[in-house]
Amino acid sequence: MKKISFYFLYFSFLFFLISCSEQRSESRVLLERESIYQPSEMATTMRQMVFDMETIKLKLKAGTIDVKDLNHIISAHSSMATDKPTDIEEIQPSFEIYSQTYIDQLEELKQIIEIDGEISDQILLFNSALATCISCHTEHCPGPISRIKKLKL
Amino acid sequence: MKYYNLIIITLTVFFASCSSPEASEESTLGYDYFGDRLDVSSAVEINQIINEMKAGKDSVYATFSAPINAICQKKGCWMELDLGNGENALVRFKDYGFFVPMDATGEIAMVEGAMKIDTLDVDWLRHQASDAGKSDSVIASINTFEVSYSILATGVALEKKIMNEESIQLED
Repeated sequence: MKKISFYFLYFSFLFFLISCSEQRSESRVLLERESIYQPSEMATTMRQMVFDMETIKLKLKAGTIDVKDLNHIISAHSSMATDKPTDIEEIQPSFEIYSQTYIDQLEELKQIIEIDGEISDQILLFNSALATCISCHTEHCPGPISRIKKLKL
Repeated sequence: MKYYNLIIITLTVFFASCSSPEASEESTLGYDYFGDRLDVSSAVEINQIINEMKAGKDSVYATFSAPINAICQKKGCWMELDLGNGENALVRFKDYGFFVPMDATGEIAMVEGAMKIDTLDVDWLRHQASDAGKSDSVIASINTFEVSYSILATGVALEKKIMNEESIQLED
């Protein structure tokens, strides 16, 4: 009887040691990383702009570009002028000029496409619009410049 | 003899349960991945990469780890790593395609990408200083370019972090 009691107490003690260790592990929770950048309205628009211009680039190369394609992106990209940026204090007065110039260049491209103008002129205008993006980013946020350069024809 | 065995078993269980849970748990907690998922087991020593560059290679593509000195505080779109021996490297992310957590300074980053020697012009250095929250006077004092290691990363991994018990209790 004494032996049984002894072994009962002994194994209870071992169980206690093991369960304390497990409780210590269970109380640790993985930290969710919260300080990850949440894209602003403007950042979201610009990601879409890259995607759209990639599509335009492919269609220009294939010779399948249509006025509807330009109507779509002119409408979608115009919002950049009023979208909320990551940091409003970073926006220079030149931003308004660049954004309008960009839209104007897309309008010109649309006109060239409408009259079935030379492919070389279409490409020139497309690249000019991208150059405007690069100029603006040089002043405001240089990070995406290398990505934009890849869009050039 | 029997009691001797019991003492051995007890001490073994005691020390096993007391062993640092942090060390054993952190090694199995895993990583948070940003960009392309990289293979953490393929990491090489940073000195190996630097030696290859010093031997004349224009660019070395590898996976390695290094402590994070600084991170862009606007978006987490760049970070600066400590390569040791007073050398730093600027890490930017391929195609501006992903960002890292802005509070990861001080952590060890596992990075996969292409390292090269780059010239960082005054405009970029001032932009970097601005993103890092430096004062206007510090930014204005940057007047010369820097030649340093630069990495275009396709993926970054950071070890998962544990919330400590105090934080759990505060949340409860």
